[in-house]
Amino acid sequence: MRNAFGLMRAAVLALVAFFFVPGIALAICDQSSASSADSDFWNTHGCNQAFVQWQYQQYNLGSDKWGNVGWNDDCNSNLEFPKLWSAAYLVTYGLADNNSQSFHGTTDYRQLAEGPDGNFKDAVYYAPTDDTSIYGSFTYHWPGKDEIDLSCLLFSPGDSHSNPASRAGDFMHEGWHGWLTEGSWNNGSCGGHRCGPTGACTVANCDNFYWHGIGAYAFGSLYQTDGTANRFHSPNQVQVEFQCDVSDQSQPWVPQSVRSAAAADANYRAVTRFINGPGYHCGDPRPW
Amino acid sequence: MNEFLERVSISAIDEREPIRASIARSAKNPEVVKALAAAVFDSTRDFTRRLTALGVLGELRHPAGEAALTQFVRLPLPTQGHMIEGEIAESISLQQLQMKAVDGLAYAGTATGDAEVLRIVKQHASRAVRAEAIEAYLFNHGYSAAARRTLGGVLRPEERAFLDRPHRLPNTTSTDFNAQLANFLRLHPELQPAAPVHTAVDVAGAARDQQKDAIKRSAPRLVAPPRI
Repeated sequence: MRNAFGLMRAAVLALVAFFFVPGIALAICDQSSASSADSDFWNTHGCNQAFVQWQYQQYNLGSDKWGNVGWNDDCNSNLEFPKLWSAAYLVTYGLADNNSQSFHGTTDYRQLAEGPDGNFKDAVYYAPTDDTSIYGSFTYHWPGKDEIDLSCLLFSPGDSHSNPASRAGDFMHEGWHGWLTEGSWNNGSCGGHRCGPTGACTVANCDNFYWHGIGAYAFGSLYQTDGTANRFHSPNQVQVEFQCDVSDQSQPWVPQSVRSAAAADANYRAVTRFINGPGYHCGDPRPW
Repeated sequence: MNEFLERVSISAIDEREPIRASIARSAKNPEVVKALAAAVFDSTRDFTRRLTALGVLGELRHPAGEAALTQFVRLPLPTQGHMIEGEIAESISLQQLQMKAVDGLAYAGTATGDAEVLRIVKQHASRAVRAEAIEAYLFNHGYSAAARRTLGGVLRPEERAFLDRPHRLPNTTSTDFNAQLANFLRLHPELQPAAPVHTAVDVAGAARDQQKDAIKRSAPRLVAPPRI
């Protein structure tokens, strides 16, 4: 992704997009309804215009990308843009930040997900995509902000990933590709992952799990590495740790359906995506 | 039933015990079990609603519920469907639901429930469902040495690490979790990851990054969100 050809292509595509198809938004997913986890979470915040006004700027969202998927109907919870800002609400307010139990803190997850440059990555913007062969993708751009695309699978209510926790988990996953790019780390040639299946990983895009205890990273220091496997993260690992924190260490008002969906996604991902897996198990095995 | 599922689905953490008590009061009502089982098998319902229905069905600990969970966890995984990153999306959904069904079978506390869980550990087609069966069996047997021995007799040799896998429950402390992790890595040194590697030196890319970083220094950083 970082090679000259790729950069040149990305720049050309960006120019083509700028000059020839302004205002065309894609990704018309199934916007007929919302999953019950989406609806439950929406009911905790409702149509929060103050947050919408903050969130679209902080995530570098624009009408050119989100125009026909709820940009002008931002309190219709069936549409993609409202589902996007609702997931951002979970990242912003939904975690308990318990020093003795959380893997990482809100400040980590916010810096990783949000648009501005920082310790974690270069600036990013978000766009929807019709490509349903992926959940999301990260693309390095020069010049300009890097790009995170989110697929319909995160918005259409028929998919198990169409809930605020899985959607926000993808912010973390793709944001971490930005961290890898910023640090010039090579995480593999299959979409920024090791090609699979390999080892204990059963899917096409595999990562390592870099084990660390609770408290190993002070809140705000997730971006740190010592350049060895002792202090490092992979995209799927960051995603699992975020979803585990939603499952086990969320604010008391986060609905059961959101916590349960977070645990389901985390625990499935933990045993299918890691070469040296399984990753941690999280959540309560008691059924309810 | 729909109203009840909606109510428990949106419930907050501090409502957990009152709702568990409410579920327990319905445990002798076969009509409740029947309605929940119907919701679980209704593939037109969305994933998270079925996940909630499976959780309540397992929490009931009713014989008919156990039978429904057994039937559900034995549903064959789809072999065709929407491919995504090397997996079938419909299969991912069913596996995650079956993981929740296994939690209910292990929680049943019956000989038949435990036998089904051990069968899953040995025979289920999904690695994720087998892994959840191991974790749920250990949890419901207090992570005892006897439970580990029982599981050790049926699990696949290549999945032995699941027995020692660090688990974080909502009330797990850092001391407990970190001790689990240290033990896991002591028992399974082969699961230490390979060292991360840098990309090949890209002089042009490095120059561009320097320019991006220069822009970064003057760019806006995190802005505080509105207070709620």
